Amino acid sequence: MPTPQLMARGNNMGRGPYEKSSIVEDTGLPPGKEVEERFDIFFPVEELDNGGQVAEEREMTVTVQLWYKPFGTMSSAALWREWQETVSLDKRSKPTTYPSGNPE
Amino acid sequence: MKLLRVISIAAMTLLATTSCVTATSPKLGAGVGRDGTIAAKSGKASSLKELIAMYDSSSCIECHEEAHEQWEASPHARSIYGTGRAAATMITAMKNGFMSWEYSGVKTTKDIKVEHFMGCMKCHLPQLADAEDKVAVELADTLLDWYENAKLALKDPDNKKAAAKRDAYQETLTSLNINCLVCHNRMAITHKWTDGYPQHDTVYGFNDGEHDDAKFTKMKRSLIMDESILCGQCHGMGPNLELENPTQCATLYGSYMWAYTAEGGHETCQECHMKKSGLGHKILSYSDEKMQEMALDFEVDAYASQWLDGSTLKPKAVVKVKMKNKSGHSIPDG
Repeated sequence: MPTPQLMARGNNMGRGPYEKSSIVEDTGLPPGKEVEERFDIFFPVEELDNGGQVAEEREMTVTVQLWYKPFGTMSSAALWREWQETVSLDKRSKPTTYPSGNPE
Repeated sequence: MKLLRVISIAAMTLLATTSCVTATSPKLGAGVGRDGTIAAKSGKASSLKELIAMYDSSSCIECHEEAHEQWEASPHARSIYGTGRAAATMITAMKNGFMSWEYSGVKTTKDIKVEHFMGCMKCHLPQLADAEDKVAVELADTLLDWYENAKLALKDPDNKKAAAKRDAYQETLTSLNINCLVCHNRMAITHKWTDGYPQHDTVYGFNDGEHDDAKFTKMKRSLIMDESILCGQCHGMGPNLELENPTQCATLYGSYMWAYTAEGGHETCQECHMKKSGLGHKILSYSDEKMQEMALDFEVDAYASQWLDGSTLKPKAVVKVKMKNKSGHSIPDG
């Protein structure tokens, strides 16, 4: 949905149809084109006594939901898609003695 | 030689097909003059009651029961009222809009004319253009009275008087809608100087002939009934620049033309929202499961990775979401 421009001037968004007359930007999904969104989610870490850090959990369950929000909120929102998977820090790791990072 | 013969046969077939189409095509001209329209025959409506009667399509139900049931469950059947939210937005448009603007000429509801409402009603109730200005005043008062009584009834559930008034006003507001006659008569011809005006005794669809109805005795083909422009009249292109103070609600037809058909898309609104979805005259969009399914491809990939933060490796999950909009317009749009 285009972000409507207030009275077709400046960079303010018009709220009601009676004050919209142009667009500031369009953040909708364009027809026929693939759009990719990337999210980087850090694992929560614990601080160790030696100053290092360790992940609190070795697994993270990621849920992706695609909502259609006609009013920009959850009011009357419709859940279009939902996906869930567990990402594991150990899933593809192999034993190694190679020191990663820059030792102090 | 054999190839030439095949081409020759193909050309003959094409010619035969072309002449066949020409011979059976109905004559153009789905209506005649402006003086034959519903509004011209009955005169402008002088009350909401008259306007509702002028575009009363209840006689369609007997023969078109399925289409009526589908339509009844559609937003078109409640184009002003909606779920109540649309009606409230109309009030906002009045109060924050033309009633507060210095040069609109409106200070109280008594000053409201049809033209003031057309920012909303161009699409939510296009037949309001066939009413006198005092009907715009009546509509404004009806909206305000509905809202006032709805608030009173909400505050005090024992206030039966307010609840009854609320319901009565709501019934009036829901009787003002986009019904059979709006699409199959009033809005069925876009190019009126080319194709004629929609006539008071005619319903427009896909056929020419007699129509078994006391009032609408004729059927004529509308050349746009299966074209996107029929819907595009309201699900429009953005700002309504023809208005004294332009408004903008729907931008969908603009997206359809310039982002979908411009990139090679060729399906119509009706093909997806009525036929492929199986919705018929229910014509839904984002709230319908089938439309949701048809609307896009959705693919997610996730894996573990790390971020080097100075000398510390920070573990993270990378989530990539791919979406491909398969509809004929931007999502969301309206």
